[in-house]
Amino acid sequence: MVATAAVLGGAGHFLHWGWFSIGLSNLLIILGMILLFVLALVVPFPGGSASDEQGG
Amino acid sequence: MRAVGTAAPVSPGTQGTQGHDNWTRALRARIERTVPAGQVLPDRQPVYVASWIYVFGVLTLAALTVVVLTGGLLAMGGAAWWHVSSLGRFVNSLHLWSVELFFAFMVVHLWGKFWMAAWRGHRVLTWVTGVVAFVASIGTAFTGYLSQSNFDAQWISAEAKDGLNSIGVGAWFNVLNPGQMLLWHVVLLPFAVGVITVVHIVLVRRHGVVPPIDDEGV
Repeated sequence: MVATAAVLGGAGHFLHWGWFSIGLSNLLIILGMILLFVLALVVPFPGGSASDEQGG
Repeated sequence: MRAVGTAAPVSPGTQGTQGHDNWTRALRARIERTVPAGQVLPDRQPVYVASWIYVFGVLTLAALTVVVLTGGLLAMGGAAWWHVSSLGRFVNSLHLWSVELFFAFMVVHLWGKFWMAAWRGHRVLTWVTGVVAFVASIGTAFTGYLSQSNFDAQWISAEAKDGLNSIGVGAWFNVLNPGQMLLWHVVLLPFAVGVITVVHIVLVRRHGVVPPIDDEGV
């Protein structure tokens, strides 16, 4: 528990590219949201039909 | 006003159709004009809505519902409760993580609407109210961080003070005043987010869900 708290409460890992730096956890969350966005575009929606309207 | 006994009889079926000579009729007519009949809670949608990208608006609303409910519980229990009791810490965590999901869903919703140019078809005000809701939500979340009543809140408020003063808004509120920030967080800003969210949803119902760009004739 103490070790977990120490890890979570630490300064965290930061990545640096020249003038740009970002926390690793923030970068992972942003990449996860982009992945979620792409999946929302390409994954078929269940119950989709070819009619003009459908129940929602 | 006509004297009693001389008024022309008005059958129930004709009431409300004879102009807007009082504010009740005017308001009712305005409400009826704002959202077309049958569009308040429609049970059918155009076929292009059958896509996961159209789900993120209602996911944002679902997360906001959890945010409001857990925020209400935290307001009932108070700071001592959410710091020291197991149940209080659990509800505090629910409040935090529902906010995280709220923003994640809202940003994916924003990306989807941006890339499909959702302001098309007289939907500019829908887009603008969404932007205002986003900005108001950021302010609400920020004052939430300031209301934790711990060292994080103290550090964030001290860091934010200089940034806010540098853009000239420091005269309107004081982020170093935890009582003021707590009241902004639980009263003023949630009220603003709630009102603008209702307006946003009414506009979505009024104009319908925006079609894909290559399906504009639908």
